[in-house]
Amino acid sequence: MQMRRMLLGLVALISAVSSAAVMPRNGRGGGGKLSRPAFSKLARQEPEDTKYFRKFFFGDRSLAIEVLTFRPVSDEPGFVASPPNTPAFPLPRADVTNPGFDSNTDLTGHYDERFFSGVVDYDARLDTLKHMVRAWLLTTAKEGIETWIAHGTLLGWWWNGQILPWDWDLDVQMSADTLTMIGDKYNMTRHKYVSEDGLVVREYLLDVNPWIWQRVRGDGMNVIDARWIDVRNGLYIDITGIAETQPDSMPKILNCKNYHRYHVNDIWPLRDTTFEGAPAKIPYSFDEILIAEYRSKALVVTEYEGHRWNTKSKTWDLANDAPAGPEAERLSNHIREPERYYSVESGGFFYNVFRLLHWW
Amino acid sequence: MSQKTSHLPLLPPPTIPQSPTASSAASRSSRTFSKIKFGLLAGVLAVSTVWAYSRLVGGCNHGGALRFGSDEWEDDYTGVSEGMSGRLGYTLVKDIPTGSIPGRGKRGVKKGEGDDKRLIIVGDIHGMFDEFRGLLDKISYDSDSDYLVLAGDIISKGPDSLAVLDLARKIGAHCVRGNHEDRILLHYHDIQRRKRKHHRASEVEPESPPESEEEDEDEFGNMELEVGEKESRSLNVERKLAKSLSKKQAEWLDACPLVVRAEKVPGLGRYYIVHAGLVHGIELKSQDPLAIMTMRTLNRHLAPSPKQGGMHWAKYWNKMERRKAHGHTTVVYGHYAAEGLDIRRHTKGLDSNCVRGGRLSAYILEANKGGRVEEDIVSVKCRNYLD
Repeated sequence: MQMRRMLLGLVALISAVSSAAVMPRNGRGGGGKLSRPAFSKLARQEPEDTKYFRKFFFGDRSLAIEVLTFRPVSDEPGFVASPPNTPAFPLPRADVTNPGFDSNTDLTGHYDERFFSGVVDYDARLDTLKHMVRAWLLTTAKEGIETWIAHGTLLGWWWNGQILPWDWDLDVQMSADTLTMIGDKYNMTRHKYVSEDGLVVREYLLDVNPWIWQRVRGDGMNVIDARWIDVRNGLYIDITGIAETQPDSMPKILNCKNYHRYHVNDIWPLRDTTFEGAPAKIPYSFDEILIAEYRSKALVVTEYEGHRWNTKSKTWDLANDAPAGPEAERLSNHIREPERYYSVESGGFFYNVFRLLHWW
Repeated sequence: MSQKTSHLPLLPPPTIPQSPTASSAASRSSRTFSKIKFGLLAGVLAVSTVWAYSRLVGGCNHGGALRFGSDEWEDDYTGVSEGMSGRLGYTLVKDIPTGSIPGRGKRGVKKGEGDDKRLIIVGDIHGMFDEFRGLLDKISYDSDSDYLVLAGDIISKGPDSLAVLDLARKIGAHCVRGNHEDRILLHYHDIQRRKRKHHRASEVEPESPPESEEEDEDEFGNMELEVGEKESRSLNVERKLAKSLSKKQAEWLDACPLVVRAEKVPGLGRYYIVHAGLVHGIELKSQDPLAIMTMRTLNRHLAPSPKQGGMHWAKYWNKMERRKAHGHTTVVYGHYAAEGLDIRRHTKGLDSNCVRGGRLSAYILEANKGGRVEEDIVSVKCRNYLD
């Protein structure tokens, strides 16, 4: 009889104690833990011996940058492809003609030297690019030139059918034969463009690289095949041709000179859609092409380069608080320091019993 | 016994050394029995404590994190690709009229009679005309009472695409847009545009129509040549089929939506009929229209892919549907010939690879005598057309 009572008392005691442990651990006195000195969460100087973590976990470039900037899908091991902006044309020698420029900034690769007349600001650039791509799409549709949008421009189409506002250049592609054809028929032609409301009148120059017959990358100075240049300020659209360079070893695989590979059936039949309000064409499997090039994260991340995705209006809006440039790089380069053992609290016996019960 | 109650010991009291000889066998056995009883009691108490606690807190919560994760994804995704199908010019969804859903007739189902309405879904036909007609005979199709939906890939690959199309139009079948229809129609519209352009050009310069035609053909041939004569064979075959489509056939195909929906099938819930698949947890208008026609698997971020690397989307669909207590949604689809006939609780895969000598399958919903809607699968054998 008495033993029974004792056992009951024991069980009651245990259950009472374990229910007491349910109280939040952070609350004062809850869970009966010892108070520890507050651990400073401020990042310290990066210790020498954790440097390899950075390389291992994040690669050399920051994640965000990696996601949304150009990443060639090159299978050749050991080959380092350079970005697509490598000029096919003589570039402004920034250090000589424009001493104000640092040649590492984003600006110098995006103007054509012959028409360069100073760096344009944010709004002017967007306005220029928008009318430029509209002019290109309308002109090609009129002339019956088969072309489709690619790379960052295609990503912009994916989001909302507009240019990504942080983009400095636009990319379109065409088949190599079409490229040869426009090289013969349209090289150095000037095209007038009047916007829909008739307020904007612009002129564009179609300039085809004389080296278009060279379908391999060569020294990397020849990757852009043609340009559609705004003659007011020298901003341009990159036009690249794609062709089957190795029909024997890789049939049905198309290449552009920068080692982007496409399967024939991923490009054709082209889809009809609109871009910036003008009729445009996009590759058949745009999903796969985008994911192969930018990883699926680029289709999900809603903050990039000082812009934030506005879910209501479906546009990328300028956001002052969204990190951009070096700050974004620093944030995504944040290093996880291995913490000392004492920073992990054991929680005590009853807390662990509670956890056992709670997560059962 | 009485002297032990004087204080409250936490340990059992020491046994008296004199007693063992006195205790009889019967009393010893009763003591062991009572010990077992205490043990049982303590066990029951402990278990009930755990049980009561888990009831109070909300029970096992293993799936919580996952569900949260998918919700989060859904938010991102919703904001992103809304209206994509509109931008690509697709009709997203069409509803099956209430009167055609089995068990939902106007007068309701009379007891002991059932109703004659059937919902029939046929998987990837791929132009296998004889087999399609054989299947219709086998299920004794009647266009008045049956609602027939072809789950995409009606044409292409097989021998008699156009005959299948004509038969489907004649018997009043309904359709879902599959990836092959999509490709053929894109080719078709491209060809039509070229033709229109050529007509316009010949109107402008009426003195030289043959020349411009030649040019047109040239340009057309150019592109085929560019992708290589032998290599682009599949493209050329598609283009040939697209050229042979009549305007009416193309219009009929163009009207095919991405999704056909049947609401409130009695006892079975909602039905979606698509060509390839859907991602669970994402509303219809936010689904990627291209993926609806091509997906086979999902990666770990739930991004759909036409490759076979990740998790079969149907597996994920069933996993999530099984968590629901009510309001289930069943998806009927084709496209995944490698899996063959793939009937799961909430997904029905119908592509049993007819064009390569498998079978052509139909999934039938019919209200039986008791008024319950029951499912059935009928299939016919196919000749081996490809390899």
